[in-house]
Amino acid sequence: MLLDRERTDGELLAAVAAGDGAAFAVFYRRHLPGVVGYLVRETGDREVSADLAAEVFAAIFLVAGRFRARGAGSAVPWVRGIAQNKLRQSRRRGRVEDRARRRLALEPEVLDDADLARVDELASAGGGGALDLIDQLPERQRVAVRSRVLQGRGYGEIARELECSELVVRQQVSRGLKRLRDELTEGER
Amino acid sequence: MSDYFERIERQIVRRVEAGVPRRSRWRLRLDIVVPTLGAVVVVAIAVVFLSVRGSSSPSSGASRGIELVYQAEPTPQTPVLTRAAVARAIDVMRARADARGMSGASFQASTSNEITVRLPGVTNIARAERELGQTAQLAFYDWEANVLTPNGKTVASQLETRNANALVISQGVGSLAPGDPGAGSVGLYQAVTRASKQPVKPSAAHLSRLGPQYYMFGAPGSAACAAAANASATTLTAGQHCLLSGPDASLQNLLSGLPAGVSGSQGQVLTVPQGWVVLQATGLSASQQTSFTSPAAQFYVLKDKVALTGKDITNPQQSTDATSGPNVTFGFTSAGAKAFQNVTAAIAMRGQTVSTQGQTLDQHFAVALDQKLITVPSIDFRQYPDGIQAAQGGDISAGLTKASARSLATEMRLSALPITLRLISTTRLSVHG
Repeated sequence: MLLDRERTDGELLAAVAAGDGAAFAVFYRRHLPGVVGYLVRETGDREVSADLAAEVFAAIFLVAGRFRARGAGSAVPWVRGIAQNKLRQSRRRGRVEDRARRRLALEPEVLDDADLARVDELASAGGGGALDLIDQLPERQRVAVRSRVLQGRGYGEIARELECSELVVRQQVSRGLKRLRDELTEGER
Repeated sequence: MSDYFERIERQIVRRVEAGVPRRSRWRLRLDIVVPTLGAVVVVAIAVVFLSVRGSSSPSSGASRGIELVYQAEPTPQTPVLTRAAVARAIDVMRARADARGMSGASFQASTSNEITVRLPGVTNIARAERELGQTAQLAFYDWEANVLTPNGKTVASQLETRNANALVISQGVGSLAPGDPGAGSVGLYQAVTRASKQPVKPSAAHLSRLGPQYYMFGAPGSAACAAAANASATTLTAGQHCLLSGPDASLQNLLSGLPAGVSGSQGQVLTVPQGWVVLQATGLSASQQTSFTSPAAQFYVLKDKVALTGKDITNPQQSTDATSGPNVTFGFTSAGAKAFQNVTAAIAMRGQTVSTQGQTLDQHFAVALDQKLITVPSIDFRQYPDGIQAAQGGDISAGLTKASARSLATEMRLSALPITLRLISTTRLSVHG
């Protein structure tokens, strides 16, 4: 039996279309940083980006059955296309798109300061190409960034797993994200 | 506690497991009909859409702000939603937006049971939701029996001894009538502090509010007050505590309502316990209305023992009184009529008891809407020794213009026939880049 992280995007989306909520959760966590990173870069607004990211993933669920995997089956271009469409529609209408969320009757969620900090974390991890670079981080930073940013786990839980203090985990996440930013900045020059 | 993205994930996962929702019946019908009827149906949709639009339409174009979509839901009192009910809800929300300085707000009945509200320049979704969507609360109180003097005792209990503060609150002072700002009222911080020292009333009978109510204040001259004044574009009053957040029914909402740049540790939380209310003083006239959050606003503290509520009145309408001035007339339900006669009889009897040959002390009842006193009329105990027969209904005329009378009648109608407004969507209007 395949572990969740070994399932391809195509397999996950097919399972989502068949009503597998756990598959959606895996897909969501895998692609959330990329989507948020893209939206933050395009809009420069954390609240708008969070709002739009929710809309993008609601739309992904609604059209999951239409995904046709190519090559290695990565859905990154497909997800990016949906995010671009939602952003374009939002700009054209002068308001953040919410059609998919309304169709799903999702409850409105309000952002607080901690949520905005989380947007920053995700954006740092999801900046163009950052996901590929995570694997090149030193092991403890890689585990900390993956656990915290990609999997959304709490600092306490990660600290217990790594058998260190929360403070150390926070430092590892912070250093890992800084290193990703530096690498990305270097790559853009 | 989960973060925003985890909450979104959970919601979508639940929907995934429940299956893709079908589109609405109307949309399915159109899918079938459009190919055959084409333009005819398009025209029909346009007519239907236009017919359900509210009187104001949203402004076009992008601007900073938020959009809220409410779904009106029937209640036991209003089991079937009508366009008129939705239009009344829009009237009330518009009045609230005006009162809270949300300039440029627009309202639209986007379907027969949805109301779309666009608020340019507003960024705090939680606060806007609270201030616009809650159902109005109308309450009638026996004024002297419930209002407190600075010593924490009711006015009524101190009239026979002619306590000076009690006399001012009961009879007014100079040209100021009972309930006016300056007739024994205090600032919000003093009022909330006074109320916070009262014991919790465990019984839920005759209360307008269940549970505590929270406020957060900043210290005079503090950075938090400066940030709050900056966020609300108001001027600080030297030496005075400022309201940072509230009133709210939960501490969580209180914290979420803090202005940008202000944290919970910078404020002082005060709790008004169940059984007590802080009511804003009446406006001196229709043109002299002060918002609840203004540093200049004045308040009274009352026992929350309600004699009648909005459920006890019927058919409130804007009308004109004998002098052709605007007023609001209303009737009573049978239970309301009985309660009204009982409370006015008690008020008249007390007036007779505390008056002497040389000093008449007519007593009063108070009408409050959404924590603001609307009027505090007196009961002439010589004319109505047994209380007022409610067969002819009642009227409110103090300080009303035609517009404010209409607005009051509308709010009273909504209070009497509550519609539940459920927030189903929030959207930020600004998209940069």
